[in-house]
Amino acid sequence: MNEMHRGELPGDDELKARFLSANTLFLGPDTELLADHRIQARSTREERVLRDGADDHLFEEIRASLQSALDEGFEVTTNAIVSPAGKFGDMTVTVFTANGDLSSASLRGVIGFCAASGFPIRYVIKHFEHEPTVGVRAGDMFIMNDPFYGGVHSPDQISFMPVYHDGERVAWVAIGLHEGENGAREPGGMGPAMESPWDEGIKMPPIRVAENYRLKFDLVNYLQNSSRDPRLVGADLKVRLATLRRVEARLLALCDTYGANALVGTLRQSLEYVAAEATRRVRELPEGTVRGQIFLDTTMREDALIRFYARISVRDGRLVCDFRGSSPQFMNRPINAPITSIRIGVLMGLVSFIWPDLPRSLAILDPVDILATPGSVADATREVPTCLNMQVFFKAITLTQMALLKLGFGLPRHYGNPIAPWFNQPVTFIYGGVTQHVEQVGNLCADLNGMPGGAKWDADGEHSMSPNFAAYVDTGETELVEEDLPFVQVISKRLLTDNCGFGKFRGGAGYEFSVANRYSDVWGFLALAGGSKFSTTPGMFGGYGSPTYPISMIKEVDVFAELARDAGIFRGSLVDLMNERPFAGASYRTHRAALPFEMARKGELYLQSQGAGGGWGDVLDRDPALVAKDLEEGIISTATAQDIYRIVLDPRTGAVDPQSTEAARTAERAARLARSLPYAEFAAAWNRDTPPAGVPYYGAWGEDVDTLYAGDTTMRADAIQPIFMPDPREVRIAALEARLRTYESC
Amino acid sequence: MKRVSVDIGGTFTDCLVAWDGRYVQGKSLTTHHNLSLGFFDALERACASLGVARGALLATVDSVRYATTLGTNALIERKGPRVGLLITEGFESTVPVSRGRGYAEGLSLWQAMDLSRGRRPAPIVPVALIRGVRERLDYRGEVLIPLVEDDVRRKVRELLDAGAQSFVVVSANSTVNPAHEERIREIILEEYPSSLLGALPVVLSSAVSGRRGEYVRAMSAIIDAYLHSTMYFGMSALEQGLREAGYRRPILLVHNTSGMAQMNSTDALRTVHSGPVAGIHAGDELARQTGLGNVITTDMGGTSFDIGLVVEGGIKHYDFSPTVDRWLVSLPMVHLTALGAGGGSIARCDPIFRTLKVGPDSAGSDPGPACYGRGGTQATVTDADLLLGYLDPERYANGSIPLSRRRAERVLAALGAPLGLSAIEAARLVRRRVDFDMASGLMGELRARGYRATDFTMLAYGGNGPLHCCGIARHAGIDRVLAPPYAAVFSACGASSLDQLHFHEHSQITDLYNARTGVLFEDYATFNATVAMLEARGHDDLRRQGVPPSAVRHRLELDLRYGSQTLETTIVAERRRLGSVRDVLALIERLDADYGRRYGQGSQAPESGIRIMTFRVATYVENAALRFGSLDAVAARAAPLPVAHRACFFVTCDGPLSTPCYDAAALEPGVTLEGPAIVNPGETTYLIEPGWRYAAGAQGAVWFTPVAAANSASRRAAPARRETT
Repeated sequence: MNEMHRGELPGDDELKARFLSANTLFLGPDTELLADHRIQARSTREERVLRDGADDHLFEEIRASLQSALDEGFEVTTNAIVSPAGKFGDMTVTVFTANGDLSSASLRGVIGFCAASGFPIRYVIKHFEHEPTVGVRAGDMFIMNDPFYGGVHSPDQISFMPVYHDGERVAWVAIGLHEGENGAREPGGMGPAMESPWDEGIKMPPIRVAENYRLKFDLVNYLQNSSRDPRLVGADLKVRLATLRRVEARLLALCDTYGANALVGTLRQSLEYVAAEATRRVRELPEGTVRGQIFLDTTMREDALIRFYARISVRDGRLVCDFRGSSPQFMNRPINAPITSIRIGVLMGLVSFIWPDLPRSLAILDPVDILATPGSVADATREVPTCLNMQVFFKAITLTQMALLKLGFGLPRHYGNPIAPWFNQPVTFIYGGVTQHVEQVGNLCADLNGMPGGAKWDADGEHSMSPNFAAYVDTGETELVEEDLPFVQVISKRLLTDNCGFGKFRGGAGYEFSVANRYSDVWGFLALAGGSKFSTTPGMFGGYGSPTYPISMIKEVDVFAELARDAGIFRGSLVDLMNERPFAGASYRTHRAALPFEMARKGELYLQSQGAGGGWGDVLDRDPALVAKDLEEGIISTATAQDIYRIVLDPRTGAVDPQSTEAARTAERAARLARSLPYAEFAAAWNRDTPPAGVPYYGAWGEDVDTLYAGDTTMRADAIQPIFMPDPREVRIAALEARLRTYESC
Repeated sequence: MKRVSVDIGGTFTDCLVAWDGRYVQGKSLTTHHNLSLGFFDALERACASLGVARGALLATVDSVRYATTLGTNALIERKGPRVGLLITEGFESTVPVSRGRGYAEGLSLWQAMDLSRGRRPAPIVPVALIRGVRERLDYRGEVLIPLVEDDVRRKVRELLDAGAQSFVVVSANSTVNPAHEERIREIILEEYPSSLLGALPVVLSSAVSGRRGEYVRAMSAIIDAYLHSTMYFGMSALEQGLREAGYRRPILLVHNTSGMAQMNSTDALRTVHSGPVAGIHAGDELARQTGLGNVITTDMGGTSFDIGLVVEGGIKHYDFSPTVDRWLVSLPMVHLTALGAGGGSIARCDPIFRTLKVGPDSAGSDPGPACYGRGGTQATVTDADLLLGYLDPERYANGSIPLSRRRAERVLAALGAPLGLSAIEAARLVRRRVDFDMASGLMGELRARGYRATDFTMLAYGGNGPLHCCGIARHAGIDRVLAPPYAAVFSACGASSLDQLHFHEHSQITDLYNARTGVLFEDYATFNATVAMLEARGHDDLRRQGVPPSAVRHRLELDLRYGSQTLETTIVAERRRLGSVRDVLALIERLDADYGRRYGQGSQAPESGIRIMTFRVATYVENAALRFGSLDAVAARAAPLPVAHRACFFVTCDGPLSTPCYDAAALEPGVTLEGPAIVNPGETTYLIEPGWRYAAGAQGAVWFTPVAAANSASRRAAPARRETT
C-alpha cells in the first residue's frame, strides 16, 4: 500500500488504481463483499454506546418493540400485497444496523431473506453512498433482485430504506418478497427453459426507486413495462414503500422514546448476543464430520444425476459446511446456485430445524464457514442462469439439518425437536396467460407451500404443512384461486396413498392436486420440481425417504365436456385417472417434475403430487396400531402394511393379527441378517472407482473432490468449466431425422 | 326496564339484573359439570339483593340474556357427536391438511415458527369419517360435474357404517349455487327421514357461511355440527328450568357478532367467545352514553389479556376469518385479541439476551402461581405483585385464596439469581415486562387500524385489570383509564344492552371500477337485488322471533379490495341501494379514506381496479339499552382513613414506599387519592402508582389519570368527557 505524503507524487500502483477506477466498464457485483457473511466490526457510534456495558432489560424492551414493528409490517404487507406468493407469506420484513448487518426479522416469513438482504445494503453503502449521482438519504427506497448482489433468486425482490434520526443514519429496514412475474422468458419469473441469465427477466442491482418517500414515476413505468403484469408491479411497489415507511416510523418513535443511541445499541447488541449464543451452541457439539449427498435427478430439461455433496464438520469451535465435490455448474440450465443462496440454505436448516428458538438473524452464521468450488452448482458464477437455484439450496437445508442432527443427537439438550428431513421440492404449477377477467398474469400456485413434514423422533410427521423454507404460510383456498384465475382444480387436495416416508414413525404424506384451463384462450402451465425419479428427501436412522411421482397429463381432450356428458367416469385421484384412463381418445402422458412452459388447451388436465417427509427409524419397530390407522385413513395400502411393515391382517375382519405380525417381523429380521454382509465385504463388492458408464453423472465420485465428472468427461476442480447441454428439442429432432434417414434408406 | 343478563366465565358466573332503574349484581362460582346450577345461583343472589323472589322476577322480566361458554367448553373438551363430512370429490384432504397453516392457529408466533414441534390439533372429523362425493361447480356456480346421486347414497351409508352421528356437506363454490348441497341433504333425508328414530342432523356449509373459501367454510359447518347437540340439549334444559321457575319468554343467546337471538335462530358457532364480546359491547354502550369517545377495552384475568376496540362514530371492527380454538372459521366475529398475559403468566430467564420474559404460558389456576401454595413452582405475575406489596395475602379474591409471600419470594429469588437480581428486583422486572408487553399489544391493535393510543380511553376490568392499568397506560402513553361501572360483571352488563342481530353474507365479485376497461359500475339493479335478497333473509330471521317488520333495521356493509389484493376493507354503505355514479363514487371514497388511514395516504391503489368481494347485511332490531348515568361524582368527598400501610416497591421508584391501603370506603363517589395507594374492596385490587391519581365516580366507576394530566385538566371531577350523544 502506498502511503501518500503531502507534496509527494503518486506511485505507480496508485496511478494504476486511479485509472482503473475511472475507466471501469461498469460496476458489477462486489464478490469481496459477498464473500463475508460475518457481522462487521462495531461502528464508532456502536462502540461508544456499548463499550461501558448496556442495560439489557431496557434493550429487551426496545427489541420487543422492534419485533412487534417487524411482525406488524409483515401482516400489513401480506394483506395488501398483490403478489400471490406474498399473500401466502413468502416474504420477510427485516431491520439492519446502520452498516447493514441484519439485527432482527419478522417471525413469520422466509428465513432466507435474512441471509440475503444485508448484502445489497452493504453494496449501496460502499458504492453509492458517496457517489455524487446517487447518494443515500432519508426517504430513499432501493430495490434489487439480482442474486449476485446478494438476492435470493430473480423472482425475489428486496426493497430497503435507510432510517435517519437527527441527520445520522441509525438503521435500515427492508422487505424481501417473492414477486414472481418479472418479464422472464417464462411467465412467473422462473422456469425450466431459462437457458441464460438474459432469459431470467429484469435483473436489478440495487437501484433507487423512490426518493423523499415518493416512487419515481419514470422508474416505476420502466419496471411496469418490463413485466407481463404491470398492475402487480405498480401496486406492490406502493405496498413496499408504505410498509417501509411504517416500520421506519416505528423506529423513529423508538428513538424519540429511548434515544437514538439506545436503538443503535439494541440493534448491535442483538446480533452480538445471537452470534455469541450460536458460537456457544457450535462448541457444545462434539468435533467430527458428517458427510451427506443428495442427487438431483434432472437439469430441468433432461434426466441426470447431479451430485450435491456436503461434508459438515465441527472443528475448533467452528461449523464448517464444505460443499466441494458438488457438480460443475450448467451453462444453460437454471439450477445453479450462487454461494449466497447456499448460505441461505445453511441458515434455513439451522433456524428451521435445529435452533428454532433463536431469533432470525444472519449472526447465527457467525461461527459458520461455508466452502464450495467456484464454478460449481454450489458456487455459481454470473455467466449461468440461477432462477431455479432452490433445486440446490433447498438440499443444503436438508443436508445441514441431517448433519447437525447426527452430530448433536447424543447431547442431553435439543433446542428443536429431532426430526427427519422435510420434503424439499417446490412442487406446484406456475401459470401464465390471460384470465377470464382479461388480465395478463404470470405467477405461481400456493401449493408450493404444501410440503409435508419429516417424522419426529417420537411421533409421525405432519401431512402437507409448510414449505421447508418458511413456517406458518398458507396453501390457500381453491375457491378464491378459481375466482381470479381461469383454471379449475378438479382435484384440490387429496392425500395420495403410500406417499409417505415409512419408518417407526412415518413422514407426513403429500397431497395430489390438478389444474385444468377452463376459461382462457391463452393459458399455459409450467412446473419446476425435481425428484420425480430419484428421491431427494431421505429418511433418518433407517426411515424411508420420500416416494417419487412424475407430472401426469391428460391431453387432447376437454375433460369438462366429457364430465358434463358422463360424471360417472370421473376419478378423483391421479393414480386412478392414469391407470383407468376414463377419457376415451385422450392422450395420457407422464413427464419429469420439471415441465417447461406449455400452452394448455381448455379441458386438458395436469396433475401433480407433493412428495413426503422422511421416515424415522426401522419400519419393523412401528406400532401395528399406527399401521392400522394409516391403513384405515388411506395413507398406506394393504400391500405396504404387509410388505413394508410386515403386518399380518385378519383376512376376515381386516384387523391386525398381533401374534402373526410379531412372527412375521421376527422372520423378516432373521432374513435381513441372512442377507447381510460384513461392512468390508459389502464395501468391496459395492464400491466402484468411477460412475457407471452411460449414466449422465455430474460431480465428484466418492471423496475425491478434486476430480469432477461431467457426463462423459472429467475435469479438475481447479480448472472447472461450465457444462453446456444440447437443446432437448434439437436432440429429439436429430434422433427423428436419423430414424427418417434410416427409413429413407430402406 | 326489567331484564336478566348472565355471563358464564371460566371461574365465575356473573349476573346483572336491571329492575326499574336499579342494577343489581350476582356472582357465583361457575359449575362446569352443570352450568345452569351456577346460572341460577348467581340469579338467586341478585334476587336476594333486590329483595324480590326469583319466580316473581322471572315472570316479570322482558328477557333473559345469556352469554354461554357451553360451546367453547364442548370444543375444548372434545365433547360432541361423530361428525361425518361429505365434500366434493378431490377435496377429501381439504380439512385434514387445513391449508397447511392449520397446525399453528391459536398458538403464539414463536410456537408457530417451530416446524420441528409443529403438530396439528386432534381433528374434530377424523379422516375415516370423510368421503368425497362426485359433483363440481365452478366459481360462477355452473355445473362442471353433475351430482352423482347413487354415489352420494353410497357414501352416506359408508359414513353411517363408520359411526357418523351427524353430517356436514361441503360443495366447492356452494356459496354461489347451493343446489348440490341442498340435493345431498334431500338424499340423506330420503334415505333417513326425520321421522325415523335417530334421524341425523345435516349441516350445509352454504347455510353457515356465505363467503368463499371451502376450508374455512367447512370448518365453520363442522364446528357448528359438532356443538349443535351439546348446545341444543344444554340450552333446552336451561330453558326448561327457567320455564319451571316462572319465565315465559324465549331465552336470548348472546352472539359473538355483538348481537343476540333466540335459540331457534342461533348457530352454535355464534356463541363462542360471546362473553368477552359482550364486554366490548358494554364498553361501546358506555362510551356512547357517557361521551367517552374512542375506547379500548382491556380485560386482564389469570391467563389472558383481552383487547377490544370501540371507535367513536359506530365503526365496527370484525374478523371475518377468526380462529376458534385451533381452527380458522368463516363468520363475522367482533374483533377480539387475546394476549398470553395474566396473573398466572409464567416468568422465565432469557439466557441469550440476559433478561426476563413473561408468558405466554400460564400456570392457570391449577397449580396456579407459586404463592397459591398449590404446587406451582414457577414465578408468575401474581407472585411478583404479591412480593412488591400490592396484594393483601389474606384478602385476595375476597379472602378465598390465601397467598404465601414466602413461596413467592423463593421462586422470584430463583428466577433472578442467574442474572444477579434479588427477588425484589426480579419482581420489579416481571412487573415492568408484563405491563410493557400488554401495552405493546394494545398499541399494536390500534396501529394496525390506523389509530393512536393517545386518542383513546382505556377501560380496565377483569380480576387483574385495575391492578395493572397504570403500568399499561404509562407504557402506552394513555392518560385516561376507567375502571368501569359494574366492572365485576361487565360482560353481563354488555349483554343487557344487546340488540337482536343477524348477519347475512354473499360472496360475489363485482367490479366497481374495472381498471382495464376504465368502466365504473352501472348495473345498479343487480347490486340492489343482492342487497334486497340479504335483507329478506334477515327479515325472516327476526320475523321467526316475533319481531314486527316495522322494528327491523338493516345496515349494508361491503368488503372491497383494490385489484387482486388479499386485503378486503369493510365499509358501511351510506345508502343501501345504488342509483347513480355518485353513489358508486361515494363507496370508493369511503374505501380510499379508510385504507389511507390504516396503511398510509398514497398507499391506495384504485388504478388497479376496485372490486366488491362480499355483500353483508346486518339486520337488527333496536332494543332499549341499559342506561348508564353520569360517571361524575356529585361532589368531592374527603378520602377515608387508610386501613393499613404497606411497604410497596414500584417500577418507577428505587426504594420501597410506604403505601396507604384503603377498603371499599374509598369507592364512595367523589373520593380522590394520589399514588402510591391501594384500594382493596375485596374482589379486586386498585393500584394507584406513584404519579397517578385515583378518582371514584358514580356507579362504582374509577378514573386513573397521571397527576400531570389531571392537573392540566383543570381539576375536573372526571377527566376527558364529551357530550353524551
